[in-house]
Amino acid sequence: MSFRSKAAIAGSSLWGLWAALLTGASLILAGPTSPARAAETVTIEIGNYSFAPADVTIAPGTTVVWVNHDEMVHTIISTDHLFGSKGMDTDDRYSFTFDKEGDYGYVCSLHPYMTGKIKVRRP
Amino acid sequence: MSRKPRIPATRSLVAPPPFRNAMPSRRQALGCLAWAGTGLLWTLTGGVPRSLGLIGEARADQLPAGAFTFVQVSDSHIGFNKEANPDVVGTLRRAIGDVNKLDPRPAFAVHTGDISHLSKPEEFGQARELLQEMQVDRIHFVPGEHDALDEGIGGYLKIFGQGPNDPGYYSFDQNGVHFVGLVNVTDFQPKSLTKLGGQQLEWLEKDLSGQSDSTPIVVFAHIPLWTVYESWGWGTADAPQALSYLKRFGSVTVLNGHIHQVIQKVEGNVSFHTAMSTAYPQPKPGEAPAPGPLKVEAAELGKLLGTRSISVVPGTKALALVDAPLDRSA
Repeated sequence: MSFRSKAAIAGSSLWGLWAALLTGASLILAGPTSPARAAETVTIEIGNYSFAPADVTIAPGTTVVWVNHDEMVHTIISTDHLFGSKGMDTDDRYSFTFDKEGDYGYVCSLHPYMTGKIKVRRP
Repeated sequence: MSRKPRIPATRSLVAPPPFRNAMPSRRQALGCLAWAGTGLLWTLTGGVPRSLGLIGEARADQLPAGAFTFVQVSDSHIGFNKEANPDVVGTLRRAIGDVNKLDPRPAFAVHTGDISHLSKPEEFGQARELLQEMQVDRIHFVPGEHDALDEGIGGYLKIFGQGPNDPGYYSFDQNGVHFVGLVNVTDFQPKSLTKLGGQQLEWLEKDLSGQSDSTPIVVFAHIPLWTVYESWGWGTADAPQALSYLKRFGSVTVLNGHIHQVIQKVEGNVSFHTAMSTAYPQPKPGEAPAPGPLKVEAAELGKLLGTRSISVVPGTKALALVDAPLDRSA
C-alpha cells in the first residue's frame, strides 16, 4: 500500500470499518476483567460532599465529566495542577479529557477532605 | 452620615502612644463579654463592667476617652440562592442597617471573608456596592475560600486588593491597637487542613517584631485559627506557629468566620471568636453529615444570622464583643 498518514487511512471508510472491527476484537480479547474502557465519556457524580465513583480507571482519550448535585459549590482541582474547574454551582458540569497514562489525584479546593483519583491506563 | 466607606483600605495609620495597662482578671472580663443574643453593649472601665444599654440606645458620651468600636461582618456569600436563604442580599442589607444604627458609631468594619459565593466578578461587584451602604469610614477585607475560585484570590484582589503584587495579607494600626489580616484560603492539600504558608508566617513574624508586648493585637482571618472540627476543615494546620509569635503579647483577639456560627475559646492571653454569617447558618460540629447550608424555619433564620461589634477601651486588656443577630428577642 502506498505510504499515507494514519489519519488519512482512518479517514477512508473502508479502513475505518477495519479499525472499528479491530477495536471491537481487542476489547473482546482484553476480557471482562479489564477495568479500562474504550475512548468515551465517564461521569462522576458529586453529591453529599463526595465524588462517586471516587476512584476510576479509564483509557487514554476518555473525557471525564463531573456533575454537581449538591446545594453547595464544589471545585475539581488537580493536585498536580494539570486541570482545574472554577466554582461549580448546583447542576454545573466540568469536563477534562485525559490523553496520557498516569495517576491523577484531585481535590475540592473548598472542602479538601473531598478527594478522588483518575487512573489512565492503556487498554 | 452618608459618606461611603473606602474599600479596600490596607494602609497603616499612625499609632498614638501606648496606653496604661490596668487590670481586671481576664476571667472577670470575659464573663461579661461576648454576650450573644440580646445586643447588650458592655464596656469595662477600671475593671468594672458597665452596661451602656441596648444597641441603639448607648450614647457616645458614655464611652471612655480613647475608646473606639469596630464591626465584624462575615460570610455574605453574594451569589448564593438556595433554600437555606434565597435572599442573601436582603439579609446583608439588614445587617448593614443594624450596623448603621450603632451608637457610638463604629470607626471601621472588618469583613472576614466569603464575600462572594462563586468568586464571580458580578458577585464581588454587587457585594462591594452593597457594603458601600455601611456608614463607616472604611472596610478591611480578607478573602474566604469562596473568594478564591478565580485564579486563586486573583479575582478577589482585582476588586478588593491593592494591585497585582498584593499578597492579600496586611496590617494596620488604629488608636494604639495593631490589626493583622491573614489569608488562609489559598494553600489547600488533599485530606488536610488549610495553611497560612511559610511566606506569610515569615511576614507575620517580622510584622509583629516591631510591636511592644502591651499593644493589643487583633488578628482576623477567614478560617478559624484553632481546630474547631478537623474533619470539616474547620482549622488551620500551621496556626500554632502564628500563635507562637503572638504569645508574648498581653492581649490578642482572633476574629474568624467560615463556620457561620459563634464559637469562642480562650487560651492564655488569646481569645478566639468565630462569627455568624449574614447569608445562611451551618450545623454545629458533627451534628450533620457535612457542613452544608442549614435549612431552618423562616422564622428562625434571622436569629442565626448577624453581625458583631467590638469595643476597645484604653487601659483594659479585653475587648468587648457583642454578637447581634438580625432578629433579637426583646
